[in-house]
Amino acid sequence: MADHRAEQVIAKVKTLVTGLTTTGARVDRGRGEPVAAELMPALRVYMGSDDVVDPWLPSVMDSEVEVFIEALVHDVAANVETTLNQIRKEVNIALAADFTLALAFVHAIVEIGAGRPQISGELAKPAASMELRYRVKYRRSRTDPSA
Amino acid sequence: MFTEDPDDFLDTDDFAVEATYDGTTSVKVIFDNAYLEQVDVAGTNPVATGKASDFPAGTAIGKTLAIGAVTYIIRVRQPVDDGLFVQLQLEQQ
Repeated sequence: MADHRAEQVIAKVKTLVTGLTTTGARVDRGRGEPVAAELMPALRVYMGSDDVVDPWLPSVMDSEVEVFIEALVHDVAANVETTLNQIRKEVNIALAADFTLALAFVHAIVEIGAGRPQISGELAKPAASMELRYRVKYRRSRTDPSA
Repeated sequence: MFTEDPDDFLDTDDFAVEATYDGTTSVKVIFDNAYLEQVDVAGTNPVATGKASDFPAGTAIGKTLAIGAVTYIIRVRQPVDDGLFVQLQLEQQ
């Protein structure tokens, strides 16, 4: 049986942001612990709230699931904000290439924005993180969230 | 009157190490590089404690401090207690 459609969305987002020029394969999902500095720059994908936005359709429901992507850098060669914005650009292009994420049940993914970069000067090299926020509207069966 | 000798605290037979300040000057510091988590990054926090007179206020920031094979830039100069010593926040190059 297929996964919950929200799970399929988040998994697809992770796939799409894996292999980008700056962050490469250093992409994790649903991790709570900090990422080792030697594994930077990196991305972490998180699922946010998943709310039904139209519950009154006959047999289906439309929902919006939040997707958070945390960009992490630890570097001295380039300004960390510049690197974060480069990562942000690459993520945006990857997710906007197909606004349905190539999933038939997705209406669209939209960019919500980015949080203020969090910067630390106490680590061995300048470190920073920035949260990139997206929302995905998708349709699912009322009785089976995987269909 | 008791006179403090800061060199007593920077004995290389104990915790201090030799370092090179600004490319040419030999100094002694106590170096720590403890684990630190910041902004979801797990790394280390390199700091060195040395005599304030070795790292003059107003000029030490931005200078290099080489410890072993690693060169750092001094980013913060923080006087400790009475100011005889300073703690230096370091950035690895």
